[in-house]
Amino acid sequence: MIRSIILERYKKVLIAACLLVIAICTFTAITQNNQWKNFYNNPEVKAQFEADPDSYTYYDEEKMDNVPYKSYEEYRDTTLLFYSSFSLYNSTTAYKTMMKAENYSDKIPYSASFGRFLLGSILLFIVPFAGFLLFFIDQKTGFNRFLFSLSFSREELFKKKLLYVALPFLLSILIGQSLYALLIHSLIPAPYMNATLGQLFTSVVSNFCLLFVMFCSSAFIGALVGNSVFGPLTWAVYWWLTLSVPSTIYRLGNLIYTAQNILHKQFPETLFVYSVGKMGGFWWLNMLFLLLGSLLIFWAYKNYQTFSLEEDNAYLLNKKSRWPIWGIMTLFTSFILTINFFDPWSYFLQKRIYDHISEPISGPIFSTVVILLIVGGGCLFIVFFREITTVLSNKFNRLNQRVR
Amino acid sequence: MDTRGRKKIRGSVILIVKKLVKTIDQRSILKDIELALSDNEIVGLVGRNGSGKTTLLRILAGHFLPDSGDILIDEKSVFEHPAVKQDIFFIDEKENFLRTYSIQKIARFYQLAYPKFDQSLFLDFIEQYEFVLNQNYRQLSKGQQALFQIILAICSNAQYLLFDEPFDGLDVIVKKEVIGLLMDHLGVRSRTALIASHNLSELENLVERVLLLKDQTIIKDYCLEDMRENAKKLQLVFKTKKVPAVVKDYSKMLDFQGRVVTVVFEDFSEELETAIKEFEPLVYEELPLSLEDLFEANLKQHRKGILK
Repeated sequence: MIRSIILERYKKVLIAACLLVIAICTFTAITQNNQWKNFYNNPEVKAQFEADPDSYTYYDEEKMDNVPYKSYEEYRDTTLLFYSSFSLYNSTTAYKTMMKAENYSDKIPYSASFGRFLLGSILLFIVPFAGFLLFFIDQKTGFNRFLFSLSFSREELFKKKLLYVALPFLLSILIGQSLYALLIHSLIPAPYMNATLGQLFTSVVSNFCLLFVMFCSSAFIGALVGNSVFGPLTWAVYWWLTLSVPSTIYRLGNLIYTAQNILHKQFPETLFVYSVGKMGGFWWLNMLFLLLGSLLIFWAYKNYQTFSLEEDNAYLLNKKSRWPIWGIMTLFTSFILTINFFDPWSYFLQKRIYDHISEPISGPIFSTVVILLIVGGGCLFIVFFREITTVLSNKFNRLNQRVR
Repeated sequence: MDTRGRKKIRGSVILIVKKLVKTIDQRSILKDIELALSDNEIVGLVGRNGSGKTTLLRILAGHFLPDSGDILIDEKSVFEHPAVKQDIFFIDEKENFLRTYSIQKIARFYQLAYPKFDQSLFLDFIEQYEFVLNQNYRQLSKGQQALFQIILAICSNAQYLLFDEPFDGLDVIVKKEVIGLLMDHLGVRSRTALIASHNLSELENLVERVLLLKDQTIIKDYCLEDMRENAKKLQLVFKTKKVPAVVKDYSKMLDFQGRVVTVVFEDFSEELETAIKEFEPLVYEELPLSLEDLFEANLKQHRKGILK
C-alpha cells in the first residue's frame, strides 16, 4: 500500500528526474564527442600551427625541457588526447608517459579536454537538489500530514521513501554514468581515448560516491528543516560551501606541508572525482563518503521518528538536534571560510617561511576566532530564531506595559 | 472528568485515549485527556477558542506526537501498532496537501490509503453533487471543499471519522447537505464521528454525546439524551434579591438581572423542585435547554451577575 502511495505521489517526477540524469550523461558524451571531432577536423587550427610552429611546445621528459612539436600531426595527436591534466604541479613528472591509456597515476588530476564541466557541474547541482527536496517537499506541501495519519510507522515511511524514491534516482545516476563511460569510450577513436574502460568505471564508482554523499547530506538537511525561507537558504549556502570543500582540503594540505617546511611537495588534486573520466579517486575516500552519507541518513531517520508537525515551520523540526546542528554548521562554515576565503594562515606562513619575516601568530589566531564567533553567532540566530524572537517579543511587551 | 450525564454509551468501547499530555512551545495545551469512543455514536467536541480541540484531533490522527499518554484502538496502541490507524480518518482543514491535486488524484490517494474505500459510492457522490473529476481541489468553493471532505470520509469506510469545524463558513444549504450526508451514512457499519465545532446549534441536532474541553482537559462528558431528561433551564424570580442556597449550590447561572435569575440544573429532581418552591418564587418558568446553555454554563469565565 505504502509503495503505491509513494509511487502515486512521485511516479512522474521520479521518472522525469531519472530520465533527466540519463539524458544529461548521454548528452554530455555526444557533446564532448562533437567538440573533439570539430577540433580534429578544424582547418584553422592547422593553419595557425603552420604559421608559427615554434610556439607550440611540449615538455620532453628526456631533455627535461619544453621543445616544439615536429609536425602538425604530432601536435594534433598530443592535444587531441581526450584526457589531459591542467594541474600546475605535474609539469616535472613523467607527464607524457602517464597520459597513455594503460598508464595511470593517482597524483595526476586528469580531466577531459572537451566539455569537461558539462557532466560534473550539472549533476553536482541536480543530485543534491533532488536530495534536499526528497523530504522537504512533503513537509511544505502538507503531504507529511497525510503520510503520518496513515497506518504506517514513521520508520517505515522513511525507509520506504528511500527505497522507492531515493534508490531508483541513485541507480539512474549509476546507469547514466555507466552509459556515459561506454559511449565516450566507443565514440572517441582508440588512439585518442587515453583511458581504459576499467579506469572509466573506477571513475564512475568514485564520482557516484561523491554524488551519494552530496545527495545524503542534502536529504539530511531537507528532512530536518521546516522553515520555508531559512530551510532552502541553508541548503543553498551548504551547497555553495560544499563546492569549496575540495579546494579547502587541498589548501589545508598545502598549508600543512608549508608549516612542516616541506616545500617541494604539493597536495595532489585527485581526491574528489567531480566527473567521470580517467581520474579514479581513492577507494578509502569512497568508503568514507559512503559511510558519511549513510550516517547522515541514519541521523535523519532517527529524527524523523520524533517529528511532531506542530513544529512544521520551525527552522529545525527536532528540537533535540539544535545544538549538534548548530555545532556542525558553525565548524563547517568557519573551516571553509577560514581556509578557502579569508586564509589568514597562508599569509602568515608565507611571510614566516618564504620572506623570513617574524609575523606574530596572534594575527591568524585572532582572525580564526573572529570568523568562528561571527559564523557561530549567525548560525545561533538562524537555529534559535523562534526562541530569540519569542524572548525579544516578551521583553518588548513587558517594556510596553511598563510604559503604559 | 465529570460524567454525570453520561449514562448510556452505545456498543462496545473501542477507541480509548489515556492520560494524553501535550505541550507546545512550553505551553500546556492538553493534560490528562481521557476519553472513550464506542461504535455507532456521534460525539461533539466542544471548547472555547484555543482550548485544544484541533490539537486533540491532530494527535488522534497522528500528525502530532503526544508528550505522554496513549491512544488505543481495540486495546492496541496506535504508536506500537500503527496498522490500527487505518480505522481513523481525518483531514486537517488548515494544513493539507489537497490543494495541489485534482479530485480524481485525491480520491486515488485515499483509495490507496484506506483498503475499504468505496470507489463506487465515491463515484455516485461525485455524480450526485456534480463534481468534475479532473477539477483541481483549490478551484472548489469552500462549501464544495467541505462537502468533498465529508464524501472522502464516508467513502473511506474508516471506523472513526474526525472532523474539525466541518460547518465553519458554510451556507445553510451546504450545511444541511453536509449534515444530511453524515446522518445518512454514519449509521451504516456502525461508525463513530468525533466533531469539533463552535456551531453548537448545528451540533446539537447531530450529536448524541458532547465532550467539554476546558483548562486543557475534558471536564464534562454529556450524553445529550440523558441531559434532556435530567437537566432543566429555569428562569426564577424571588421576593428578595437573595438567591436561595439550594439554587446556588445545585445550578449554574446563565444570567442574573435584577431579581431575575436564569439557571441550569444539570441533575434536576423532584426534591430540588420542592426545595425551590418552598421559597415561593414569584416566577418559576422552565425554558428550553440548548447545548449552547450547557456550553455557556460550564465554560463562561465571568458571569453577568453575582448570586447573593
